[in-house]
Amino acid sequence: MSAENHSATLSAHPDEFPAFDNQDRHTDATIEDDLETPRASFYSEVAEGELSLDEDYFSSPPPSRNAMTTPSELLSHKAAAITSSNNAPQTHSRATVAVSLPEGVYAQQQDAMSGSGSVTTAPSFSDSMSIRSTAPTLKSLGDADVESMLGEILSETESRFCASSIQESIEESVEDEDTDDEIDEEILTDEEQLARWRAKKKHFFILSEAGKPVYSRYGSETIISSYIGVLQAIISFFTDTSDTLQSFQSGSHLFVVISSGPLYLVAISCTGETPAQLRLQLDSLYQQILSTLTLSQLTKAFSGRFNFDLRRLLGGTEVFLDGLVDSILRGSPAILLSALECITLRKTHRTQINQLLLTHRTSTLLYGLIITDSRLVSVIRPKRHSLHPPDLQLLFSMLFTASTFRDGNEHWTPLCMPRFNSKGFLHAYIHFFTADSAIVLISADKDAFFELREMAEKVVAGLQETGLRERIGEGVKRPKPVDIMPGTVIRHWVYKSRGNVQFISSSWEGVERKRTMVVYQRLHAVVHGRGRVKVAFETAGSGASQGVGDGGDNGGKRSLGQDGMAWVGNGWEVYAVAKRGTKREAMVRGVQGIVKWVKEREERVFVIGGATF
Amino acid sequence: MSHPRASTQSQRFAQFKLVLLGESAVGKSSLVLRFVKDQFDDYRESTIGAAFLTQTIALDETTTVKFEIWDTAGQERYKSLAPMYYRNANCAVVVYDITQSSSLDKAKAWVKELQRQANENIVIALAGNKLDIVTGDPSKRAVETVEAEAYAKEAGLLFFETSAKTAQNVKDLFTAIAKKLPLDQPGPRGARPGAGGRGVDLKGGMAAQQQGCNC
Repeated sequence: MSAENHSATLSAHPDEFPAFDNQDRHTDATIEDDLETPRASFYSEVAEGELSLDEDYFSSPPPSRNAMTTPSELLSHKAAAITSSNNAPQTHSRATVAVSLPEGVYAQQQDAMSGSGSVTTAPSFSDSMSIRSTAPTLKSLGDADVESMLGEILSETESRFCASSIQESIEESVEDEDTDDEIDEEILTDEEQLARWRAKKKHFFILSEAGKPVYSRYGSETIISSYIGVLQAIISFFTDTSDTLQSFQSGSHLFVVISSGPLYLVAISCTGETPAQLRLQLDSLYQQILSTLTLSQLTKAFSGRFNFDLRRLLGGTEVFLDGLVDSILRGSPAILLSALECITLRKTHRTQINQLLLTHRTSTLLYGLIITDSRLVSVIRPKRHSLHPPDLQLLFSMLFTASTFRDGNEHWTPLCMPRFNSKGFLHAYIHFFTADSAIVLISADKDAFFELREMAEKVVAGLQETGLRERIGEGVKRPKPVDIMPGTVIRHWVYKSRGNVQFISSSWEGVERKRTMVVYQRLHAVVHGRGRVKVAFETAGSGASQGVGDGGDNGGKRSLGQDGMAWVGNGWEVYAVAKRGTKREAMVRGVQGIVKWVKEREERVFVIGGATF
Repeated sequence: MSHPRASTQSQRFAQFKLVLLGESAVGKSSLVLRFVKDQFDDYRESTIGAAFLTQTIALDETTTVKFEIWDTAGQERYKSLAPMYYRNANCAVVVYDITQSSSLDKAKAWVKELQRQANENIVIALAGNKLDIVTGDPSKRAVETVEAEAYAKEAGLLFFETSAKTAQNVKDLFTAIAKKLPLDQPGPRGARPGAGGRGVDLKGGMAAQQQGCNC
């Protein structure tokens, strides 16, 4: 196959790549749409044309502004993000009978297209939300600048809420879930296994429309099959009435359902996510399945075979689904923020690495990437094809959460990048040239292996000779908050650049990752909720977490609650945590320091544009 | 081997393309790992797509054989990609698990496909893996040696029962293949002067791909 350019290659296979041209423009907005991203934010200094990782992530970039001045007219006395909607119908409580759930089932019905589910949740959920400790603070401040805006916030009475019972269960679940996977399930009796399964704070299920189990993170088939059956019954009850079940609440558990292609994906969680956040997690699992099968194969598998057992086709890729779920459970800023993380590199070094890839580029290459520690080092791409962060997230997850590719061997594997084109496979050359660093060369040509292999050899040799390999190793280190701002109260922070669809995180060392992520998740829900809040605080509860936990076997690990803060600016959002009881003034100063620090080195901490050819 | 590297003019170097085929979880990757790195992992994740490895063995003082190995994934969904790996292969190792009789049926199907579609002179070896398991517990055996051997003989295959775990017969398997390959006839699938060849030529896979792919 002549590989002069891709269009030639692709036109030869119209079925395989019908969407190769810039048709992928539409799909991108979906994820962010789910999150109700405030539209009035687009980072001004990033010229539209330069955006590499996803030019089209937002449907229409609004007029730009100076990034440091928050448009305060957006602030108003609107209620905090999670306004309750007490109109969720309870007419379908018949489903309750079917599930035999201990508490009432409130079904949330709404048109799949209409807005964020987080706002229209069922009553019991909003009730619990209202007593949670998130205390977003909104002020209308006219044209005041950020300083004074924050100043007003600071002068407000701090509102602290007691931890609700839900919060307690969240805290608990955050504590103890790590420990229980080490017991060999096989030595347990059925009852013990069931008890352990039921004790999980979060479950993900994938099932076919016919109710065949496709995937569950936990539990043997005997355990899950009856539950899958019940889920299928509930979901199809609504489908039969031409309605779509999106989520419902039972006790402290939120059930979220998405229907994607011929599959249902269900998340059951008591860890406090909003339905929108859970949908995002479910979508990442669905995308993972697509990346193994393509949408075409997935659809074909079920066409005429309603009862098809998809596990036959997915065999061997459960590790990737497990990896995704585990990183979700561990707390994944990448999934929460729908963004990628990069390593920090001097601009000159990043340019040199790009240049190395460009120099040795072969004619069949579509995308060339260097990835280390689940983070992007460098990417090259054709000018006319953007690379979609969700696709890269999948790739990163596959590379780093499973050992499949991390054996130092060279791999050649078909791979669907669903946002690029869900109907066809690309082919990826994957080689870990160090324990943590991989070169990934992607082509639409399935015969390109030897060509790409040669390219990879040259690039890796080039990285070695120029010392860039060491630079990459050094760039992996994340800064500690105190490295940036000595004496700061901030313990951890993440900063997302919306324009680049990337984020940077401070070091996780000494940070309780799961708890911190729960704080971020709540803050995220607030600033992405209907209120379009620009600044939100999370105040730790009254110490509900004290005394619960993992039995004290690693005493230093048990932490008290943390206070958190989120701040959304033009084209960026930042989340930070500090010790419980930290003065807001100090926290605000810290967060301002972070924003300033990141802005001063955007070209180092983000891949801006990537190299094109 | 007793000779300390007698430098002769008649050094021979040959390069062969080898493909591993067989049902999933019979131990293809483990056999390759044992052969190439002399290692064994108790838990291995499934191969995704295919892995490419090389290993060079010395047949005697003057003859070196380099294998370029495609370790393919055994899952059903990759079935249509197989021609891309076995086309132009000089040799194939078709692996089954001696504790799973169905895996031999699958191996036979692969042999049939290779004999019909692959290189005319392809050297095929049948490997019954997981010998260590039946050594420990003979009741675990599901495929009798004589049965598989008879089949191999009839189909004209090399035959070994192997254990990637203990390394039993692994080296022998690959050496036997190397010995059976036509070292002396230079040509597209024989000995080649020097390295630098392009390895398995995947380009040839196009035609057959059209029918089998895109499922």
